[in-house]
Amino acid sequence: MSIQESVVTFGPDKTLVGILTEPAAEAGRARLGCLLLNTGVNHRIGPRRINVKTAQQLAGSGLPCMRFDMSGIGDSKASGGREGYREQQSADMRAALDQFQESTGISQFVVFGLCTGAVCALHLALADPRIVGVLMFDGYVFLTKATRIERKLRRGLAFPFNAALRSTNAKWRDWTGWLRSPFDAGARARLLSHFRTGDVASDAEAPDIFAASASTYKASEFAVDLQKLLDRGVDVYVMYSAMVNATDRSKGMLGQLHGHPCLERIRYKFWPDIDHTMTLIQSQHRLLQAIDQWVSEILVAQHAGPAGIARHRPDIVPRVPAVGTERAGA
Amino acid sequence: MNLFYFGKEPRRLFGTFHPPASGKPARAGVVLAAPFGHEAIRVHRFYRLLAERLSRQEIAVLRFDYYGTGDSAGTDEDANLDGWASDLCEAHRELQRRIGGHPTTWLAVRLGAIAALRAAPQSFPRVQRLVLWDPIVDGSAYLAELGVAQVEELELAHCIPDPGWRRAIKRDPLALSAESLGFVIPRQLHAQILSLQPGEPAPAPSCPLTVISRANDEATSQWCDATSAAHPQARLSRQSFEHSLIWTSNPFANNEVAPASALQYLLNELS
Repeated sequence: MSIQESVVTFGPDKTLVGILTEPAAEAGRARLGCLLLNTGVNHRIGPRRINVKTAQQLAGSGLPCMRFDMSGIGDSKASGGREGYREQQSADMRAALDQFQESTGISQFVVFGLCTGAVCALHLALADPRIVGVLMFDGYVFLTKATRIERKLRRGLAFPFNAALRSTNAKWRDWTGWLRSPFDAGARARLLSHFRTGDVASDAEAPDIFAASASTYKASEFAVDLQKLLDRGVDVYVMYSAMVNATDRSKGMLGQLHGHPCLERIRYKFWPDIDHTMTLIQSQHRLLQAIDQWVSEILVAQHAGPAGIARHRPDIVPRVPAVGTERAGA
Repeated sequence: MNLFYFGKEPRRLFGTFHPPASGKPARAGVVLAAPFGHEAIRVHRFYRLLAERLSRQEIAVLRFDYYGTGDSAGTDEDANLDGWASDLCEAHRELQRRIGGHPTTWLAVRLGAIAALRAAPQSFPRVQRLVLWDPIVDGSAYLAELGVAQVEELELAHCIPDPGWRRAIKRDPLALSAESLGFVIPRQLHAQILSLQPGEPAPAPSCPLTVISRANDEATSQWCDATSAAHPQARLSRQSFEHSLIWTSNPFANNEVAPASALQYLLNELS
């Protein structure tokens, strides 16, 4: 199915910028839209242009998509308002959905966010009843203490044999740098800085700059929020790359939620060979395939298309989740 | 700032036009040509800020995405330098249509500089001047640089990275060069990049050239010398400029998205 793209400007002063990607023909167009969010400071195309690739693929399957820049990011102007960061983002996302609805006549949406975008996606899904599906890639992580220890042990055991792991360790780099050039003042200063700052434990749990911040948001709060979405019938999908941990058992990235009924009702996928921003082309293809499958299952389940997307895509029929995708009770 | 699609189907291109902020007619035009892949994402913010500042000096600016990049139609597999050169000419025509034939300069960065050199003789009306910033003149060194960046990115983004990645590029610096930081390097583009050599002069420049690069960039220095020797009539000037941008990196704390010094330097150069 061929697609068409158009620019939309919206928001109170028409200063927010988005791109609408739609199937060129009306026939086969789904009655569901996909909203694609910013990741960090990247503009609307997303890291690795993943939002464009997602939009092209989904629109090619009949599903309109919209990517946009939040206030102050990409081509959208900074808001002149006095709202806080989170409030402004919420207002921007609501405005994007309003525009999406006005442009397409669609009133149900799924939202996809990566890293910081995943956090935004959750907030939007909680606040806006038009959201019927939310996919969070490398969003909130709640490891148990046992998993953290296990992860540390794995990294520790690999350390002597893995040059790549050593090279990403600042303390190792500075020690070896000083040993190579003991009279280099810069190398000495870098090494001493570790002692001055009291950073004696190289294996200390450093906050990851990529990860969605969970410092003020507790696992119990996350569980309550997930439950709210599930009770509303929202299809919740959490995906994790191999950045935080190399292996995963029993939905370990959300280990602190174990025992909570919501954990059994969400879709969960750990990708042991996909990195945080899908650097490898092959990993992008697999992720796009998974997104396509997820959206198709929502469409089939909700009969959102004029006669369900299955009529236009006979390859897609309701089926059990793919291998590695665990979901129950949905 | 006007955002729009232009160009002939199916090669639809996404462009952003910055008219003079004062509302007065433009006194000149600038087309900003992007680099390749991840670097194009990296430069987006920088280009927006530069365009806004130029527009305050009554210079109209067009930013755009080549076919298969950014918000333009097409996929990674469509990337090649000849296609980009034709897109650049299309963007030039679009800007001319909007500002009515005022003298126009192109700023082209990294691999975009090579596309600009190919496009300039075909531009109509003729581009007035090319400003090339950190142009890629040594193709194999560039692919090797992208390979290192790819491995660093993968290692950073895996809890336990695969040591095989760095071993692979140690054995062969181009081992991973079929893709770079999430973007395919199609076979044709790969060959076009590999053919770039510092000793190989540019085709006869059709307009004055300003080449900006770091002082220790010997490859660019050699390429400028070769070009000047091959085309004595060419008006080529080389400028040294140090900046903190790491083209292949993500914007970390040690790597600004839009260094003020670089913005100011290019603003002076283009206005």
